[in-house]
Amino acid sequence: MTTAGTVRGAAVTWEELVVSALLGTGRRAPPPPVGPLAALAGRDPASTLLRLAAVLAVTRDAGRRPARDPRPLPQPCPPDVVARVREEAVTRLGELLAGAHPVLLGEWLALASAAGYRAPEELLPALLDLGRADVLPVLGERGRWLASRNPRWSWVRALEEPEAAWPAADPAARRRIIAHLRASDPARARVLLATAWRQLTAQERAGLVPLLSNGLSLPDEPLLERARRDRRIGVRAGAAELLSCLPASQFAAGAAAAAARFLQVDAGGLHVSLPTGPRDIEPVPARKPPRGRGRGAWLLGQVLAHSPLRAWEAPGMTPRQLVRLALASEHAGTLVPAWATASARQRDRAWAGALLDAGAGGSGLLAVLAPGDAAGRALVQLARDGLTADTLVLLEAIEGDWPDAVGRAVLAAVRHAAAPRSALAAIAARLDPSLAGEAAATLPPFRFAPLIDVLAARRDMRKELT
Amino acid sequence: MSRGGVTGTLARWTVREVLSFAPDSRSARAARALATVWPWSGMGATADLAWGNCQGSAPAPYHTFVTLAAPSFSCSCPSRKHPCKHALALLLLWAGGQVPAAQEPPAWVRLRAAAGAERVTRRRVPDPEAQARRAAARADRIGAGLEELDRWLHDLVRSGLASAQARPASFWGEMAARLVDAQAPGAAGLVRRLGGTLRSGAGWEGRALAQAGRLYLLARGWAGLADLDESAQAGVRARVGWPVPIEEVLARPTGCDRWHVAGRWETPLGEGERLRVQRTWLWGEAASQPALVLEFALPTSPFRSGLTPGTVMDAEVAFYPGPAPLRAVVAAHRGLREPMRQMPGWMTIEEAFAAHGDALARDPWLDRWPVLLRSVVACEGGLRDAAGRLLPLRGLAADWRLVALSGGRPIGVMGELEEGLLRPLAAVADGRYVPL
Repeated sequence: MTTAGTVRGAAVTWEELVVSALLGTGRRAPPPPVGPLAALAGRDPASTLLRLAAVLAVTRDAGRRPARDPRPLPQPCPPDVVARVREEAVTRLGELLAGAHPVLLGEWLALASAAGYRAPEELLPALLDLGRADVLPVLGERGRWLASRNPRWSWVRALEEPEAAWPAADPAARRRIIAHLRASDPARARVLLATAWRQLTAQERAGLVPLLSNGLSLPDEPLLERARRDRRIGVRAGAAELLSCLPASQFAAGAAAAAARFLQVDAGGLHVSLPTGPRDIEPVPARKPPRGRGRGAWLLGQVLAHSPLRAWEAPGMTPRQLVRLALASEHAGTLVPAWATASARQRDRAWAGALLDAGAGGSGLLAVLAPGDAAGRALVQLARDGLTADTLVLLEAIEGDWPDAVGRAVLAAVRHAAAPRSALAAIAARLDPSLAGEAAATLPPFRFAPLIDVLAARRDMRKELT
Repeated sequence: MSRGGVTGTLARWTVREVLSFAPDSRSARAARALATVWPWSGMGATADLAWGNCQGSAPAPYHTFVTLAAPSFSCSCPSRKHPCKHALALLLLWAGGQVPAAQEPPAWVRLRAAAGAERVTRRRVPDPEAQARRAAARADRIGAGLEELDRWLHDLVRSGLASAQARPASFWGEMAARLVDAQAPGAAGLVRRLGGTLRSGAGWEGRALAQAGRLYLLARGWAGLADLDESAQAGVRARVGWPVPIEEVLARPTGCDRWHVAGRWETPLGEGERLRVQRTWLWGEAASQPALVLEFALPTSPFRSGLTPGTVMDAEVAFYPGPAPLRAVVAAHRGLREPMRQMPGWMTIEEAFAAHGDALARDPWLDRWPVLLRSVVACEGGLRDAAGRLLPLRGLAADWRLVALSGGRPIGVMGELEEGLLRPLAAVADGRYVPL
């Protein structure tokens, strides 16, 4: 403000001084001071400029006054009913957000929301910047109020009021909305998607259909049938894949009928014939075979992957027997992978177990197993091979925290394995935190620091968040 | 163990306070990992010491002890970090109440503590006559240096700031080095700062001219030192960089008051600087007056003042001599520290600005002014007081944290005022002190 640079009665302004200083008094002399500033005139222009600068700089600073704010005050936030986490947990969350043990942030959020706490106010902006849905339970009233005031955090409202936010959301935001909604209320997500289906572009549809795999159930069939008749092959294939996960659906029945034409099971064994063209395997969609695969074998694999596995057990055969027969047949390279895909999709534990035992493994099948079964296999492999990359894959597939026996076995095995640091942190994230003391006592501290630190942090986090 | 387990003058430290002593985040994490009972043996604590033996990777355990008042750390481990992770872990355990109380420290602790105290008191007593001669010589050198600065400033404005912007960094570095040789490090720092301001982005011309004006004022102030009164002389000397020995400051009269430790800022290390600088701002309740405690430390050492932001203590504080007393040192703590539940300070932004103007009138080289506001609402533009005035904030990151803490209602905020913008350092909301 120009007036802030003047002294009452003087004709010199700060701006004029700055210009003169910028160009140099050799080229632009400062304006001569009059009035109260006259005493500051020096023996030459440079001297005058410096004197005026000294006095006016201090005067401007001392005379500064705060401006009036014409805007109305913001609407205050409704009070929070939920309690804030304790101070130790606040310190911990601050450390996690600053980058220590990023793998533990999700766990902190889950523990805090399960214990019924909310996050401290000063860390809300950092939490909102993460853009993760698991932040929502700890936001509290203050967090939602804060999110409503910054367009960068509009994702919060989008997730909490999906139907209202849908029309204005971009495709990425819409995917987030559906993904989050399917986790909590699959029916509501289905209804939202069904009503909006016609306005969606083919690309959006292709991105949204796979999200229906979460919470998939028979009521999803009508929407998936619509998608199956879509123009775009990506949408059709995605819908078919999901429908094949519902053995009770019409599509699955049609796939079973189609498959039965090419594979028959009876007391004498398997009788395989190959389809000749895409029409043969309808309703299963036929995509182009990859290079090097025979067309007939490829089409057979597709139709088998989409048809319900129970159909093959009809003549009283167990999955184990069928897998053995398939391995012995000349089409093993087509049958076994196709059945593996089908077991993963249909989450069939018996078939998954049979395939794994026969050596047709894959992490997709591991995820299907019952926790006890997976833990048992992991123990066997740990004892046999130690902590190899394959064992790690097996261990990761176990749901939830590892059972005690597995945890102890892993701790014993990790000393002799050459596990990289990132693997150590991942292991520490799954071990039972009560093993923290034992880990610290038995493992060499420097090499296994990531594991010991993360485990100790998890144990302390639980104490802080009760 | 209950909170009052260790009797005496100290409220128990919190985890955050203990971790603030760690020289870096790696030590902090290592200390946290060690803060369990199993590696420790022979632990004990009295009112002012805590000790223990920690089993590390060596066969024999390390002996560690900590004095609790203004914490000092001692450990027999080979780590070069100070404090090491064992000492920090011991303090964390004490903060968590896991160190059992004891009557007497064991012999090895007493020996070590005595040796440490002796090292502190062994200092040379200077010879007064030699001191006076050195002071006169220094005054001459400073005078010569500042005269050169005067001429250099004249040349600068004669050729213009625009052409100065094109000059290499050595232009400023050389003048600063000459001032350091002339034993005027304060002036040297101002010259370096001026060099940096020329590259500081929008509005640099006004800022640079203001700093040049202040430099000129300093040079003229030194030249006319005899015409100033004693406190003004002390102010000029301090700004030029003539250090006042701490014994002299402590010998000055002190006032006992309830001091709030309101905020702290560590300046990021600039180029060519080898010392970390930390500013801790205090507010005296009875006198309604701010104070600044300035501390320096090497990059690998912690600051040792024992002042924790967010606490209130009864203490005697001695101010450095000067026309507008601000820099101070804590002479003695009296009594317990308590947590700060309300922000002290001024009620309106006008009052804070008026106090700033008043201080500037007496000490024109004041660059940062503490602003403590008892009741302001944080909105997207800055802080708003009950009178409807707005104080904008510097930088953006703290904006949203304050808005979150405020929630549309008044809270207490403390920060440093520089060129009309506030750098927020802390807030008190809902009876909670939150450092920013």
